[in-house]
Amino acid sequence: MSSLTITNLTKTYVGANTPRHVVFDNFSLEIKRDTIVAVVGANGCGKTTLLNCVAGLIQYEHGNIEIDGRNSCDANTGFVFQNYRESLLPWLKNINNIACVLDQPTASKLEKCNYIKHWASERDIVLPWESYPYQCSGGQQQLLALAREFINQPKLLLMDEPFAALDYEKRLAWRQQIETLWARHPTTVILVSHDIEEAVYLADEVIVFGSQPARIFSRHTIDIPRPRAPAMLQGELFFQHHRVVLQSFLQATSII
Amino acid sequence: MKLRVLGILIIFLAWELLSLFVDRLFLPSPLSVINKLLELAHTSELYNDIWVTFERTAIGLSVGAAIGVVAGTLLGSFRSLYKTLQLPMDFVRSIPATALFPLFIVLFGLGDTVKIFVAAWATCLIVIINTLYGFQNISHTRRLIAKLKKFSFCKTVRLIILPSALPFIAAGIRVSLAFALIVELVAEMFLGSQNGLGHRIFAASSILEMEEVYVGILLIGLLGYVLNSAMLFAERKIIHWSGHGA
Repeated sequence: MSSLTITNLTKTYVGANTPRHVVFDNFSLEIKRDTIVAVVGANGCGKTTLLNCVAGLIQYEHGNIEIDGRNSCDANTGFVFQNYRESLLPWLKNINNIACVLDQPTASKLEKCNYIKHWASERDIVLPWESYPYQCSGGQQQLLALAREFINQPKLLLMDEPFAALDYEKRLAWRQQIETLWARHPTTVILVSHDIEEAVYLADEVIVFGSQPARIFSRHTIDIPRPRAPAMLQGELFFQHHRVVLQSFLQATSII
Repeated sequence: MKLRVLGILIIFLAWELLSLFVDRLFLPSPLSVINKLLELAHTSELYNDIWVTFERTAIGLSVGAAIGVVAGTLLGSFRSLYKTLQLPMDFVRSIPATALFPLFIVLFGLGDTVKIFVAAWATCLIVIINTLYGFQNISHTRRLIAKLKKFSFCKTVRLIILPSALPFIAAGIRVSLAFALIVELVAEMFLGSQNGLGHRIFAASSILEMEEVYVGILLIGLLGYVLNSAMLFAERKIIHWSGHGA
């Protein structure tokens, strides 16, 4: 059963002073429902462009992107940005940062707030709701940004290098947080990453991209049982998967 | 605080010293100015003049800022509208408001309307430009969020665009304050006014009452300072997120 279907996607960047740049040429991809798929590849291979096309943020010349058989533009899609601080609205209190995107048009303000607090407490998310984002720590801000995307139970969740700005031990903690949120309400996730360890850790499937134009170099199923924990990083199973993906990545990028 | 008092004292002393060597017609001594102020403080006309100037400037500033924000929002949202109006707008902006006074008199007469209008005019032209600058500085990520979450146009303006532009708008209003006061004073001097601080300064100078001229100048300075401080205070309260790296 597939959730995201991309068929014959063609996307060209035409700049005024730059040569035509073909990012996708007849690109097709299918992703199974309720799985976490990580996309890795060299810089500029089209990972972020893929997310932008799927989210409907940029136009493309040809092709079809469907989520659960419906055009991707109508779908309920979440997007986690790398720059979480900038993705929040500092003029709104934390609770209103979520309430303003909550997909319950008929609910009153109070109902929305109660729903958010209830939703969060079910998931052990503790945030100072009446504070403003800039009064919170970086971790709280990131949690807020994540909660905002998960609360509407999106059919598809796109993440663009969400933890690139964090240090290593924080990243380990966030991987667990994401897995917990995801396990509670499984959805299709596309995670763009430049960190192969992170990709293997989180994903059910890792797709290695080749570039110019973007193509699928290889796909790897990661069958490490969930829930996964940092201790798994030392296991033989993880090593095997990591090695295979890394090999593929090096072949695809040919930097050496 | 001590240093501030010291600063005022130094200026006061320098003024007093300078006035010893200069004709009273050019620079009366600060003591005589203060005496004049205390004398005038017994008359209700002085308070009325301060109030009238304040009222006209404040109303003009508010109306001008409101129009400026709306116009700036429209120009910032519709690129083609901005391109169409850019040349005439820049042309009109280059004309000093005072040069347009004869036209304003024809349009609005010599009453209170014209005096409020000149302050609104000066404010509006600055606030439009600052609102436009604010628009250009909206974070790309936040624009994308409005698109991703399918915000309506109104919701996008209310939740993303206006708050992003607000620090720029506030700066524009604070800059306009000084300009609004300038044109207000000139309007009170030359547009057939019967009251206001501008009228008082002009009338006093024509009968060589230099102490009273300086009283008017000091009060205008004070009025500008108070308005500016009030605006700074409101700015910190309303734009609470500014300066937090957000």
